[in-house]
Amino acid sequence: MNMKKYYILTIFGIMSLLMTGCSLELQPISEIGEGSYYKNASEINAAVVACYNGLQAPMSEEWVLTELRSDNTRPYNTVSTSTSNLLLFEFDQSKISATNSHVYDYWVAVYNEIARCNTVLKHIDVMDEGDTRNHYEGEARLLRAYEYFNLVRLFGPVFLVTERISAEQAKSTQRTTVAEVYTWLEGEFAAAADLLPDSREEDELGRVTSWVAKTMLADLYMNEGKYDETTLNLLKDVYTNSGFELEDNYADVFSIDNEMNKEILFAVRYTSGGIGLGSAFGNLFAPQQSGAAVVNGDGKGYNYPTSSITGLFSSSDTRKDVCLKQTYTKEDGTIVDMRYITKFTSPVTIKNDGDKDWPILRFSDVILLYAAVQNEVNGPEAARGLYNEVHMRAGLKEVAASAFANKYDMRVAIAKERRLEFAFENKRWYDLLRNNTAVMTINNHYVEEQYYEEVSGIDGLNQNTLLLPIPQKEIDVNTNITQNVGY
Amino acid sequence: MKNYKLLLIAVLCLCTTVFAQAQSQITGRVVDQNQQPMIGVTLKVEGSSIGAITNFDGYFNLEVPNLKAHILVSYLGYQTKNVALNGKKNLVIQLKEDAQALQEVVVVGYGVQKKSHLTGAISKFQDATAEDRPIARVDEALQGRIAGVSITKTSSEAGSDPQIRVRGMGSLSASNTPLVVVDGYPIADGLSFVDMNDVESIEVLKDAASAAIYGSRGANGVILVTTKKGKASKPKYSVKLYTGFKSAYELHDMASAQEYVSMLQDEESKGGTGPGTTELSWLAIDNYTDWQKVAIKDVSRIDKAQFSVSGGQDKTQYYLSGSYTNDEGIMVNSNYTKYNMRAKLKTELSKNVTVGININPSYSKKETPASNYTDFVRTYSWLPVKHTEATSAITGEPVGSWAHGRHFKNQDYTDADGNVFTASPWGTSNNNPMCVMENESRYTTDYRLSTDMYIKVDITPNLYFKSSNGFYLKYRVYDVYHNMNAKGDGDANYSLYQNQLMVDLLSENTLNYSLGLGDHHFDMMAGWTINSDSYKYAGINGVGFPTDMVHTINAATSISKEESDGDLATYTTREKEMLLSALGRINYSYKDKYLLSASFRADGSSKFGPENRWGYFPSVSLGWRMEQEKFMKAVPEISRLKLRASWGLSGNNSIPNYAAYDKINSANYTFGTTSTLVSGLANTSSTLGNQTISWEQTSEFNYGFDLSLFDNRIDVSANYYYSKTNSLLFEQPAMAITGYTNFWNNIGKVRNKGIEFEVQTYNIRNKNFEWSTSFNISANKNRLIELGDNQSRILNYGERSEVYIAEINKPSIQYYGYKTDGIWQSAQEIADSGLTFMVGKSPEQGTLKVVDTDGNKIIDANDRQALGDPFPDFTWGMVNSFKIKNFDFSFALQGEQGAKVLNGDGYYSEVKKMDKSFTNDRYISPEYPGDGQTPTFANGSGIGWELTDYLIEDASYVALRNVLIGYKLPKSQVKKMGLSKVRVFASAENLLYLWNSDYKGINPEARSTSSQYSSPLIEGYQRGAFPLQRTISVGLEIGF
Repeated sequence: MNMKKYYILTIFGIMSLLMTGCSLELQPISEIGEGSYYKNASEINAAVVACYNGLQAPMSEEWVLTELRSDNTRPYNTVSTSTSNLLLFEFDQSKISATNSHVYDYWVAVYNEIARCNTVLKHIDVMDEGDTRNHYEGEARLLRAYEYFNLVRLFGPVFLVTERISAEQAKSTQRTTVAEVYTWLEGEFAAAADLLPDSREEDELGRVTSWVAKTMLADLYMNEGKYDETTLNLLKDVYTNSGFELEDNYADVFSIDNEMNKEILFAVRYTSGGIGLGSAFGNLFAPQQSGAAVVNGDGKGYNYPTSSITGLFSSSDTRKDVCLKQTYTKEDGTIVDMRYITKFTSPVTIKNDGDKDWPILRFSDVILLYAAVQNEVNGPEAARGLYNEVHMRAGLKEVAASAFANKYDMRVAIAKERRLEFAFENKRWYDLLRNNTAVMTINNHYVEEQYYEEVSGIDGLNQNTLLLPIPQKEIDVNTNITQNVGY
Repeated sequence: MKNYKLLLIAVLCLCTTVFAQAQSQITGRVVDQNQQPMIGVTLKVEGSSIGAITNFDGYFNLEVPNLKAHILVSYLGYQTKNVALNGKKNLVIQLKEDAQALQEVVVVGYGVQKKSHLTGAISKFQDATAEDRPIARVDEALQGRIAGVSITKTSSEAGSDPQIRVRGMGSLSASNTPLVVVDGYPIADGLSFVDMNDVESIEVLKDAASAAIYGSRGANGVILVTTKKGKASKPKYSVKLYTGFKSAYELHDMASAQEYVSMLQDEESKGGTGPGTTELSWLAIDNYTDWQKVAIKDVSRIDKAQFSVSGGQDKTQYYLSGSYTNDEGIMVNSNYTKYNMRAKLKTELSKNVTVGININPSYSKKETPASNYTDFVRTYSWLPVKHTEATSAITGEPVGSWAHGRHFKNQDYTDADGNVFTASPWGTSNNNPMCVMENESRYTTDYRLSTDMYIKVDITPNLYFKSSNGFYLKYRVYDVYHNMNAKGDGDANYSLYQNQLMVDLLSENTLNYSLGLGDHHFDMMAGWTINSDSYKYAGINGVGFPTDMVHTINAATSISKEESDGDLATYTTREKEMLLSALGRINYSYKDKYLLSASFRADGSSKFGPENRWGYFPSVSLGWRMEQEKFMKAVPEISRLKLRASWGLSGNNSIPNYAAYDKINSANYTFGTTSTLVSGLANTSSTLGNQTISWEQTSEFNYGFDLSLFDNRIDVSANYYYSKTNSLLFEQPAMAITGYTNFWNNIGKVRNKGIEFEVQTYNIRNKNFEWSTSFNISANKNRLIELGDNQSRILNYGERSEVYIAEINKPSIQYYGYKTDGIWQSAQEIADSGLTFMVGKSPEQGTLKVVDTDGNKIIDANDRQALGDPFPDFTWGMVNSFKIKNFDFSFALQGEQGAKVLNGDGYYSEVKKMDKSFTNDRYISPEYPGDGQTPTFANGSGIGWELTDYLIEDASYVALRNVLIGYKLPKSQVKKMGLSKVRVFASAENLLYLWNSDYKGINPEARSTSSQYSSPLIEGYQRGAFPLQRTISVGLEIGF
């Protein structure tokens, strides 16, 4: 009778013992713990793919940090109280605060991309020597160098992080001088050019090639003022041997049905379809309150083309219509006058889910860089043919030799051509920096663009504000960091 | 007459003694104070083993050796009575409830303890009137009732969770929410679905010594909820119904368009800026809409019905209850409905074995409004909800269609003189907030089942084993449907369906042993527990619905995997966590005077790095019951005095799972001309893994005393505590150059110290009049002592870039920004100041005068300083209860003093312009400076208000939280109806609510920040607070 309670106790005792077999060693289920991954070539490939994926986040901020600061675009309104507009005004008016979230967001996105590249390089040795390994290494090093090239031009001395570091290690990292970063970049671009293949299979288009590395190396040299035979030969090589060429029509370069065409050396790719790889630019740049007239889901009206660039296109320039529009038609047929960029707009079903790629390097860029170096090394006539290749493709007449009396004329012509050819492609700011004309050009722009008459408190651009401030949040974490002068 | 009676008794006594020679049979009945029969009462003849138990109707038969015997009548919770038979053979015995606190039992972790023998700081909440209050949740009833427990109703949204803190904020990044344990079962959201009517008592374990038995989860305090159980009796039925009506306590005092333009015109005549065409166009729109009234329902009600039955025989008891609550928030589309059931069943299988089962299913549905209240406050009065004839004439939009600010853009307006001009009255591109509200539905449905079964085996009379095994299931569905054009033109429709399934398995096994050796008494408990939680999350996002008629995802044209901001929209994910624990406690008392309690718990958690999974949590506490000492007999006024001291170590593990690992997620890309998707993987989160992550530990000392005076007429309890939380679980910001912005770390120290004081007095206790008062007050001081890495501070940015600083040797959170000294009285004053201002932040006259705190004549980020903290200096509560004959009456006051809030509504230009509490007496011109302190509205000039101390306001308040009046029908009348109790009552919440004039908002308790900025280190931001609600209700209670 009383034995029953012992039976019951025994049952519970056994049950409990069974349950103690439970382990505390629980690994993530829906994610992979990094420690157990990156063990073979296909896993390294996944890490490399993630580096391409990581190009999107910095690109989403890049127009703010480059195009908006240049004379190509501005905000539409002169006054606004919305935070998003106030933050953008700072870029347009060259008075960017260190707490501006766009600066930090870009900074975070770029360094996250760099960490992805560093992750590939950290684990690359699990692969056997050979082409595939070299290609992956080349891709990681080139994408990383590309981001650093942008960083150093935007922020000046930056933190050169070339391997995965812990939070502790980060705090003892110092900023590297611009000269040292440039030297390092030369080595990286050169190494990537050696490691990467010269061409990609049809189904791999979008992955970088040695030509991208070579062009970027040349661009870097030009930023350093090295207009010499080395630079010339690099670009000549790309121009002659890369196999890339111009599309016949400018519009075809940006046709949604012609992505990764023969002119695109390198682009950030976007794909719609609700897979998280869509582009928001169509919606960001479409006019506010345009409803579905321009693109489904309304627009934000950001990155509004200035009168300056709109007026610069000649009437026969076929590029203008590809780059921007000046009206849209509402559902009820009324036509609204409003400028907006259409270069990156493609039809969307879901807001911010566009398909159009954002080119980073096009063959016309190679041609015009080559022309610029030819001009400096061999004079304007050596550059004229190259210049006209791009100029005439836009439906414009050949410019005769008489128009270029000297190198200066050609420099001005190339700068203008680049501005139009790459309108809103985030090239303008970097061109102004490369040519050392940013301060003069932007300050003239503040005077000439009518819009600024209604904007008070513009102090202009100066040598200090050419550089962005190091994000305040970064300084908050590590108070030993020095801020850029003037912030 | 009296003499006659006495005589009769004497005669009777005489008779009985005559017959009391041989064994006799006596009969009788045991009743309680209300003359109700008592079942299962033990009767025992003194000095023998003869005994009996009362039956169902309270009757008993007892063989007694003689009629001179004494009978001991005992029942748990009642005073034992020694009845002399004095020859009587038939008697009615009345037992009195043991009102003396001495025997009061308090629930502690894994057991119960006599209140008199408690050595830790545990507060008990037991309040029958709480059931009558028109509030939908148990936690709201606790507000202001327990010293050291702060409950803030941060949102007036129906069904929303209040913020609960026990003894301040102890953690920086891990949760600060106390552990909730319902009938021994830890349930994270227990307070949201236990029905107040089912609650027997709520105990709060405040000090670490009491909470250490819960080890790794005890650091934020433990709230133990004990539900009612059945007693052996005939079925007792109880029905309770009430219905309440809610209204807004106060609304923002917003200027109408006309009022605002008149004000500007007046200002223009005084040298200020007059109305522009934008404002003048407002006058041309013939419409007045009070948007706050649009946001608030005409009538909102709270209804509740509750039914319970309990009873049982001597071996089996049951308690069954069901309740329905429908709580309508005062805002449109804010509703909460809850069905809750509970069954408790217990039976003795044999003399040694008891089993029981508790089952608690519940269902709740919450509707959340899609628009924020601020959006209504910010909408101008000239805008109608839907187009009227007048606005249709201006805009060309059809009458009766939704009216939006943009419709009025670039339209022609006619002023009073008949001049036509073109203007854009409002720049917004958003739809009006009511349109957004009506076109987006958000429902959260919770299905819960908590159940556990236990068995108790008495191995020997002093030793028993108890095993309790159960599970808690929670299935939550979040349903959103967003119509086409809901927020703006071209806004695509979508449907979101998310669900979470949580399965929490728990097995708790304890051995309990009690031993008395003369003056020494030991109670010992040892056991082990196993707890495993698994979570499954899923979501589907359907897009491109051809019509808004069907809201389910089958009608979508496609499924979207990710939202544009990178958040997953269609997914399933899983998580699992595990906690293994061993625990033990020993309570020792010597001569019932000197008390010692020691406990120990070891916890192993899967959340931490492999090296640091196990944590050990000891505690020790001492007590001295001084009233038991002989020398205290000399002070008869003191009926009870106990001194207590305790120390304990408790932990906190509430961080996300897998923080130890760098987690890799998909990061895909497309290659090739056909855009083939290729899968990529990377740590796409912003968090770095940390393999060394481990427990956060709180070491706390508590000193206190419990004092009762004048025969327990006054009970006083006081505590002083000092706690230090070490190796804080801190989601530390990392330099972004690592690629990530934060990582979990054990770093830093926080100290909390404070005092708590509770007093309960029974002022008057007569047959027809009772008056009792309870009062509590507590103060907590929070200090951040260390941040690690030789850091002295961390800045955190909120949703409007407002800054919160965590600085060592200061409260863990302080507002950080620019100090102001009134306003600039003139342009001349600005020029004379010789100050240089940050790029783009030059002030105009009439704007805030930021102080150059570092004196370098430059106003920049270095001038920022700490501007106060969001923590109250002290909180208090008081309840007065009266019983006058059949009436009962109580009122509860509650308040908080010294907490600061950041009034985020003041960020919006519409609020700055239209809210009279911001515009009254404002600056106009040097000649008309207003009160000289209130800035003018100068858009984009100077530093934003939200970055200065101008919007930091004192949120102290005093609330008449509840007034309750009840009337019990007289017994005689009730009996005629065949009932045992009929009571009607009326109750009012927030009849009166006072706050500091410094506060310009409408709800000092509200706290709200958008979720992407929510962080434990960001507190006190207040935007879009719902108005406070005042509820008046009537109810009926019937027992039979």
